[in-house]
Amino acid sequence: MTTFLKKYVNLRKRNTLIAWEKAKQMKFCYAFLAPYAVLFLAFYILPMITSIYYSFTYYNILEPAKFVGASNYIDLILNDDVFLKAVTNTFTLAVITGPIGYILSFGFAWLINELPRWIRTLAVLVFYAPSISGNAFAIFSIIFRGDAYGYLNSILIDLGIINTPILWLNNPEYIMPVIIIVTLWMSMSTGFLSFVAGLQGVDRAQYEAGYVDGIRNRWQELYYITLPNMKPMLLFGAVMAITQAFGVCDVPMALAGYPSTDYAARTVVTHLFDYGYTRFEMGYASAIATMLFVVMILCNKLIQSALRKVGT
Amino acid sequence: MMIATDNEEVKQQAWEFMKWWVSTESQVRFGREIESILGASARYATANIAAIEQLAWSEEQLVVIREQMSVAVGFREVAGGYYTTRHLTNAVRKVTNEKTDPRETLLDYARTINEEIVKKRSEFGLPVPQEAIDATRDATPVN
Repeated sequence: MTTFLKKYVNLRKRNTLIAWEKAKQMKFCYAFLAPYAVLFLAFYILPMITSIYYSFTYYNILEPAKFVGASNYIDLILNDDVFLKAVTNTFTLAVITGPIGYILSFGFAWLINELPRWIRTLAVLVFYAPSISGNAFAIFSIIFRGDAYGYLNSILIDLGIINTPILWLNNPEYIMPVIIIVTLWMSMSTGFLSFVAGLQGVDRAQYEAGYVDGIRNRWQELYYITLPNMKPMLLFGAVMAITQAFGVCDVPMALAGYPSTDYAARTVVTHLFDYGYTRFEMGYASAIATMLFVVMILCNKLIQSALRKVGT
Repeated sequence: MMIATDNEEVKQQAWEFMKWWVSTESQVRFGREIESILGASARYATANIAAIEQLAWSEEQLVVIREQMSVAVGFREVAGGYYTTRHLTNAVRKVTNEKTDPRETLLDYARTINEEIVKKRSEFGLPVPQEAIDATRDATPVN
């Protein structure tokens, strides 16, 4: 065991020395990297490390941080009912809009692949527009408005389905379905674009070869030829979908209010906002952030290992 | 600064700063300058009654503003007070949506509000009366 460790340490030392020598020869490459590296360090790595540090303290900005060990995490997991609800909501949103949004993106990209180029461009614009249009989902707060003037309420009352308006965004029963619908509407974004581009780049000769070899219908063609060719795009789309699904906060906040009625639309990030910005318990908020970070990394690894097996 | 420090000179300076900031002259100057940069939508709604007369509010707006100011009641912020509006709204919506008994709902939510106030007051070392602790769910003082 000790000889193995010694050999491992020596190997790493040698590799580091070689890498250092190589780096000294290529000083200019690192000089070109330096601006981006500095900004990346300052705005991504440093806040992350600071957040992990603060998650082990009690910090309310007015007083210096007081080290409390893991009590933030213990409180978070064992003592906080609202966090449980937040995790349930976030997981529901992630599971429904992540895979379903992903499959929808790929399905629509595949369907419009056959159209002539200008119709395809138009269709891409129609599908992609919700996610680049900034806060256009605020229109849903008018559609789902709680009094008789909201579009949905007035249509339902005119049709005689309901008698009094339903408070869509203020009633804990209806908030989550509404938010799921809106998030699905917004779910076709950069992943969708990469699928459209990737589908164009698949080699036509492979399809012909496949049909000669015995592929009988479109589904087999999809599974054996199209999907394996699209693997980089699939991975990218999955990573994007997961990151967005776990960090969802602006749609629930804009539609259901902050805080939402009886915490029905509480997600992990709005929970973080509440503890960080409203209650000034920064240590607790940092603990939430660190936990979210760890969970996102784990989910990413899982999805990537699952996607490596597609098509084989 | 006035709360967070024990240094008497810093406290005095902070107090002088607050007095300067809320004085009529500073508020009028700030309001006029910000309206000149950002336009009429940034007309400053100052709380200083003498200052608001000197800003660019029209007379009919000022009549309404004066009357509102004369009947406005400010209530002080307590530690944990953010829970009050939140849970009062929750209580109102619960009664509207599920038609529960108003008095019971309000009692339940009042208990939640009181628990948070007790927790925040203990956290900052403010005195917490014993009846308040007894009224909370677990009736043990938070550290």
